[in-house]
Amino acid sequence: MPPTKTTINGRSVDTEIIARRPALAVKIGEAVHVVTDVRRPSPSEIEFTLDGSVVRGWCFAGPDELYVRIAGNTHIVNIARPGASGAGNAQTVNDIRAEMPGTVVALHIAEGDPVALGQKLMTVESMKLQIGVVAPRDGVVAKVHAQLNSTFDRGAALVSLAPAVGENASAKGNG
Amino acid sequence: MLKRVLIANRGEIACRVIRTLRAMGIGSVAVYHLEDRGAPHLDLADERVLLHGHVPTAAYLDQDQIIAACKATGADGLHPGYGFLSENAGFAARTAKEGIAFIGPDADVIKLMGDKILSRNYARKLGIPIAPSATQTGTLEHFIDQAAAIGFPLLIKASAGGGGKGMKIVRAAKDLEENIRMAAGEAQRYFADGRVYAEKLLEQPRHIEVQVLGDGKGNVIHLFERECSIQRRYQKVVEESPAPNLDWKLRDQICAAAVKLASAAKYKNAGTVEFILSADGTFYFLEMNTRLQVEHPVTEMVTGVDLVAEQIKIASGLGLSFAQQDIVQKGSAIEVRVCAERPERDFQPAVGRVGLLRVPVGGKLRFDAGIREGQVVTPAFDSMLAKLICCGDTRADAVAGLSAALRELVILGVPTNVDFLARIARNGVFKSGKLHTGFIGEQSADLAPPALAPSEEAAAVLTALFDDADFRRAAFDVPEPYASIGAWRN
Repeated sequence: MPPTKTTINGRSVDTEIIARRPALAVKIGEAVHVVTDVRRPSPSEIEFTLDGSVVRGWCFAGPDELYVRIAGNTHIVNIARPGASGAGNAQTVNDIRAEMPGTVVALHIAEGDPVALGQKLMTVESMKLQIGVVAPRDGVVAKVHAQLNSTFDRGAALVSLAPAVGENASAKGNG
Repeated sequence: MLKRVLIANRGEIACRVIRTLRAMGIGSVAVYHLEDRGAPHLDLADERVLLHGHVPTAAYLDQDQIIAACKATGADGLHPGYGFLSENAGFAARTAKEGIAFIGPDADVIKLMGDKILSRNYARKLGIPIAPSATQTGTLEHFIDQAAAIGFPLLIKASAGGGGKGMKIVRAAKDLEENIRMAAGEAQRYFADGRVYAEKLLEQPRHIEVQVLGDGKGNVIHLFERECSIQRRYQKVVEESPAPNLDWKLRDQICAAAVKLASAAKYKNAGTVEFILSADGTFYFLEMNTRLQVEHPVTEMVTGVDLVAEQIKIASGLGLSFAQQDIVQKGSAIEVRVCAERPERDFQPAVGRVGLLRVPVGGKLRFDAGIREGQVVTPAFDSMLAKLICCGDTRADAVAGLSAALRELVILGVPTNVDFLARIARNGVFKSGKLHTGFIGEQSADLAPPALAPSEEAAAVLTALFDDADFRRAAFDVPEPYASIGAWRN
């Protein structure tokens, strides 16, 4: 199996199966981890031993992403499917779409600007609430589709992102 | 006593009201829009009536259909919950005229307290402190002069407002005119009432409110205070009773002011008088909410009084069941609002499905929810999914219990604020009880999701991958569907 592209909470991590025997070894980011005793205690739980420590987590597969809860923390994981054009994958989706209809009340970026994960791109008003639309990943603003004071429908593209400069140049900062 | 009560609401509050009706042996009627057909309040109620509306909120606001549903089911009482029609004076009057007991105050009191300018004037006449303020009576220029005379910073608010709509902070005279125009414009759009007023902005204020019950004849008792200072987007996130580090003499003064206001208005049923408390100990009347509040469970947990049962007894003409000296505040209770939202994206509301729900249980816990596993979370309604409430002998016990319960709570399939709430519960300033309404902004660095350690990241990614059939096949060489049956091993 070729390396699998995954993202966790918007951050991309490459994973690759290095060995199946004598024990499963999986490379995640830069480190190789040994995994044994994988089992499913209930349909919603997964348990395994990771480098000698037991991990038990809840898991639910949504239409686009997997929700995982371990030790009181919830994570949203995307697994890229080869050939599936990466629908719903935060790393490959280029268009940031509106989750509900609204109006653009402030624009914080311009085309060509580099943006970081979590950076506020525009402020929209939906359901009588002012909501910040933030970057789902690092990138460069390729196109602003919804201009200031314009209205949009649910699902409309608001901003398109191009890959960040130097993407795949491995972890920046806290990696 | 009322025999059959229709609940003109949905979600957790409809479930909450029905539970008390059942305990009292009173019939319950739920109303619903088709989009809510799988909602839990329908199972709990004795009868259900479908409401039509091009959007769900329109159905729950449709007075004609709701009155018709009361008639069709023989309901002699109507509980409005909170939101929707709960503070609509016209609807309260109409319900009463149709011979149905509106479980709330009379229409004229709803009208008085619903208008912030009228209610502040009413409070001022009673000698209840209100923050220095200016209202527009003449020209805009005159209003600007009066507002500037109060001194900056100022808060511009909508007279008909709520929820932070039409609210602007002004720190310098040069920004005043523009902000008044903007606030008036927003107020006109949201409330069809462009009247605004300017009020002195207190720095680092606390939001303290008092629960009251009145019989409509001038007899009013209070059930002590709640602290609701932890807010985002001007909406409460964490509420508790008693307020931590509040001098008991000051607490008594605030509660007495609330009782004075409600008695003068001959307040009937349950209500909440809200105050703003400045760091120097001065407090000002903010507004009165003429309905049951979202955060009422913390009061129930520390006083042992079922507020919905009291509401129903009062609406049945039975008056108050308690005298003031019967009400004792015991221990501490904290509530958190569990919302479908992304705190790390400016608290943007989120949609999805409650795919997996595991609720902590315990003698000191209460989980008031209107959700069930499999339910779709749509943008049609408010993003609040549930409330988790924990009590303890001391505040430290309640905080510890809340932390543990939040860790146990599992809601997967829609982004929620559960982990954010857990970080609040672990925050040192929160634990110390030194709260003010700017808490979330001030503590934003500590409340942000921490960077994942490589081992945690690996654990989470692998859990997701093991849930993926393609990855399992690649990892274990086990042909599907065997691998998906259940207890697969490597």
